Amino acid sequence: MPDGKLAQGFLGTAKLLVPTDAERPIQANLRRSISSSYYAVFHALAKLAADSLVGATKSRRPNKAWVEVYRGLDHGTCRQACDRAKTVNFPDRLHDFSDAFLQLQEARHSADYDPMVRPTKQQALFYIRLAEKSIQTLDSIGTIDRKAFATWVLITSKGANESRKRFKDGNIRGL
Amino acid sequence: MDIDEELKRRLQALIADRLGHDLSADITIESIEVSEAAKEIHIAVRIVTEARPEELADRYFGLTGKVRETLGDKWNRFFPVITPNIGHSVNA
Repeated sequence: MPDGKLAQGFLGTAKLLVPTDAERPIQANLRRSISSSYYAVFHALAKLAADSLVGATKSRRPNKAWVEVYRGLDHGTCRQACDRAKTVNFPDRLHDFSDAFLQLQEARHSADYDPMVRPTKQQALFYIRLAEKSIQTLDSIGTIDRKAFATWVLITSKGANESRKRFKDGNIRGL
Repeated sequence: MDIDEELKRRLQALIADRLGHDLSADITIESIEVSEAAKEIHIAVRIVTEARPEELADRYFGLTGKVRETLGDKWNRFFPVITPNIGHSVNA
């Protein structure tokens, strides 16, 4: 059975890597903490997509299809979808989620690859909470908007984009 | 393309108000750099406060949209990457 709790797992890892006392933090741990905060949100989004489009109940869904949808997300596609979400009439909470996703992805890139940055304990704690808040926001979205957002993130074919443009332009009579 | 001084002032006011409202905090935009290749505006924000980083994160959630609004149509193809640099204030 697929593991549907990776988001909480990555959040737990992000917290474990930040020292709770006055101990001097290890740079590599702070970097991995920030990276894990991003991955927690990435997995939360993957789960939302798979649950929304295939089903949330393991015994009443095709689990192979659930995994296919879950793995259907990639970082670049999510980035584009979140960046362009502002052009769609999603609830404000989803716009805020999309922006937070992008900020966390940027922080993850710096933490993973940039030798010039020196993350601090305060920054690691900041991004853990930003990830928690993002996941809570995603969990609070209603069923219809969850399905719409999952579709927006995953389905990027030419036909889907033409359909979106026609709806946006108000030209839906031909559909 | 550069961010003009008036727009910098409005961004400074917005970010300080959003993150620092009701807090004892010194919030300053350290730098703003435009990357035309990446279509990003990198905003580094220095935050000196006794507030917990978690509280700042709660206030930060939703800030990006407000910054986009302040940036306006001219910059609507650029994503504002807002990086907090958090330090503790020193009591006298």
